[in-house]
Amino acid sequence: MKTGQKLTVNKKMARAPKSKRSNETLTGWLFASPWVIGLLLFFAYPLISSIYYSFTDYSIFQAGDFVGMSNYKELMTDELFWISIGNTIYFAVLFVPLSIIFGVALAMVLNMKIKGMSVYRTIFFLPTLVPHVALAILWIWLLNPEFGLINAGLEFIGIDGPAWLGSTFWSKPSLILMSLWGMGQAIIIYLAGLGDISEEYYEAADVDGASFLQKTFKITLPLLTPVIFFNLVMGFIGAFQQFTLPYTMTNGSGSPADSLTFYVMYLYDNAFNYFRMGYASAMAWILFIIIMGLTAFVFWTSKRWVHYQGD
Amino acid sequence: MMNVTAYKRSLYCIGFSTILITAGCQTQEATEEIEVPISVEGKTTVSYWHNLTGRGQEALEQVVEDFNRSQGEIFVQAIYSASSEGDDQRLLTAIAGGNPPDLAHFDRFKVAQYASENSLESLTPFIERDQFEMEKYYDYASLETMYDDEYYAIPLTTDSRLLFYNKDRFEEVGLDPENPPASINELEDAIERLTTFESGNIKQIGMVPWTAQGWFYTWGWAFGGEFYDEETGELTLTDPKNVEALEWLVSFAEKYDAATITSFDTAQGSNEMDPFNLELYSMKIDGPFAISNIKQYNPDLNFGVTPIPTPTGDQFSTWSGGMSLIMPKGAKNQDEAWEFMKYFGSEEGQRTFNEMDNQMSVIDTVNEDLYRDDPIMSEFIDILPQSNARPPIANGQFLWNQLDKMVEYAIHGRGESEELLKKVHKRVNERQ
Repeated sequence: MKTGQKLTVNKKMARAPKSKRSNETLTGWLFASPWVIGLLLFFAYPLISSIYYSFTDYSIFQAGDFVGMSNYKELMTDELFWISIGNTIYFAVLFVPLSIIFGVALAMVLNMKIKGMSVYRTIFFLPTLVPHVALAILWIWLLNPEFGLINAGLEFIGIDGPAWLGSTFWSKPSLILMSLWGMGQAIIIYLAGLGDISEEYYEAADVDGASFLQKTFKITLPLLTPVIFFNLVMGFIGAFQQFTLPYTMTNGSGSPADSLTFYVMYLYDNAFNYFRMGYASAMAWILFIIIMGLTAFVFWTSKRWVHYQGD
Repeated sequence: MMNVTAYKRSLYCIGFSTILITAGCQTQEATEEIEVPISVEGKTTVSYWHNLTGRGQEALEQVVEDFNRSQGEIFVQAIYSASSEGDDQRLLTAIAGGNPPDLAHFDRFKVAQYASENSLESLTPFIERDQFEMEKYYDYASLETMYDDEYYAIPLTTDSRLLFYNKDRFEEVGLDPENPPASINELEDAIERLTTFESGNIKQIGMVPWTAQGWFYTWGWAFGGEFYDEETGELTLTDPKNVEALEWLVSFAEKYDAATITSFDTAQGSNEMDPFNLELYSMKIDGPFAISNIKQYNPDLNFGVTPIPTPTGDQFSTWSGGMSLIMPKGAKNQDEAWEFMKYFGSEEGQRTFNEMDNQMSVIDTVNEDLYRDDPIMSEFIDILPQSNARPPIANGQFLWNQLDKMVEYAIHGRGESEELLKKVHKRVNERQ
């Protein structure tokens, strides 16, 4: 049946060599093969094997025996596992909405038509260029309650600043504050989204005599929702994988008293410090399921609040 | 019929992409590769990975050079291999991948953990064959190279912990700088006198016991506690003296408010910001490695060192860590590597290395020669015969982290001392 079709095609293109199309497909695949092989070898294979390893006591050095669900069962009673989940959720739930509120607000300010705006935009983007490790060290100094700039500033306006990273209560808010510093990337995306909103809407609103607030809440924000949606999903994924900042700041210890021990830090400890690769694999899959579930939930709610232009 | 040109073309494609991949890999390797193996005619090359830089690297290369010159058949090649974040990830992958170096410079504290994973060659057969004397090393140092009654490393360097105190500050508050505190009571009194407040805020602290080298091990041993029973191989974390030590730390935290004092330390790790160097703290527990920092960042600091105070004011103790030389599992030139291990572990090798790098040797006669005339360093070597090593168990790293966290939980009021110690004990034993 297929040969018949091919024949007719070939008859029409008399000068083309036999089975040119399948040859082209083959050539295409061969050119793509380095990438495809890389994907299978360095992504798919480790991914699949980590499922298997999560059911073993694999230790990097030794293959490990199949232990069934015991890694997962142990996790359920592992205090630090729950502490690290709690910390991670605390961070994600506060950081992601805050980053959206501040990000959108800043992007709207940076979208105004003022002279020298590109300079301001650059200033807000610059912090994202600083490597996380350097950022962590910088903030350790800024937040130092004795000689830090922040508490010195607070003292100036008569506030006795907290111990920041020294206190179990303030350590996570400090980290959120630091993370908001790196919002530049999101702002760029919001700016692109804002630029995409057609001027016609605003012209029409002006004709109807709409106020600034009305324009913001009836035009700008609804039409920005696809971008907010994107940043929300990416923000949650990023927040759940929080690692470099707290790891560098606490030398991997999550101090004080585990208040900065995040999920991926504990996973890393198990894998590379305690050689419990199987246990760490199980943790990785639980994280995957949490992020998948959360993303699915956000997608499900998105039908109600995300508006696309022209809808 | 399979089209010949198409076939050829696909071969070209595969060939081309292979070249691309390997080329890609190679360019990356070129910048990352540690060093090309050197082969000397008629000699066996022994590869030796280390992560020393500066003076340490020069000292190590001197030892290697001395050995090579004395040798007709063996050539040791010292290769710098950085370890990131204190984890020996490159070595770890090399061993797991079956292509390790013949020798590696290695934290002695991790020997038991690696040995329990069957990733080190046992040295016991070599030691027995050549009747190599492990007794010439401090007891705690050779104990730390053992796992399951077998030796897995040759100790190279050591350290110890003492109380550093600022002599000028002592005089300012009327304490005798020649009679530093010996008992815990005297220490508490000194801390109180050395702590100053300014409009309700702490301006200077006498000392924060858990900072710098004030680990729980430090205080547990100072209070006379034990962590490990060599006979049974069991942990003894809940020793009543350990509980006492933790309770003392908690009482200190309550008196001076844990959050405030910990925050003094958040800049720790950067030497110029060390609170003792800045004279914000008048005392701290630290090791000989702190001396060069003081000399670099506050050369005028008039300080002394003294044994860590104990409840009774005598029976002082300390604990030591240090580096060692291991033979990773699967090392190819084992006999040749062992020859070098013997040399580095000998008095001659020890003297060359430790003298150049200002490190403490694991052989007492070498230390006597090197440091007897130095008033500060001689204090550090005097305490060594009473020194302890951390328990040589497979979960050493886990235990370390757990104890560190436990102190934080205790001082931030998140649990009773004895309960916390029991919890750590249970957790570590469950993972054995």
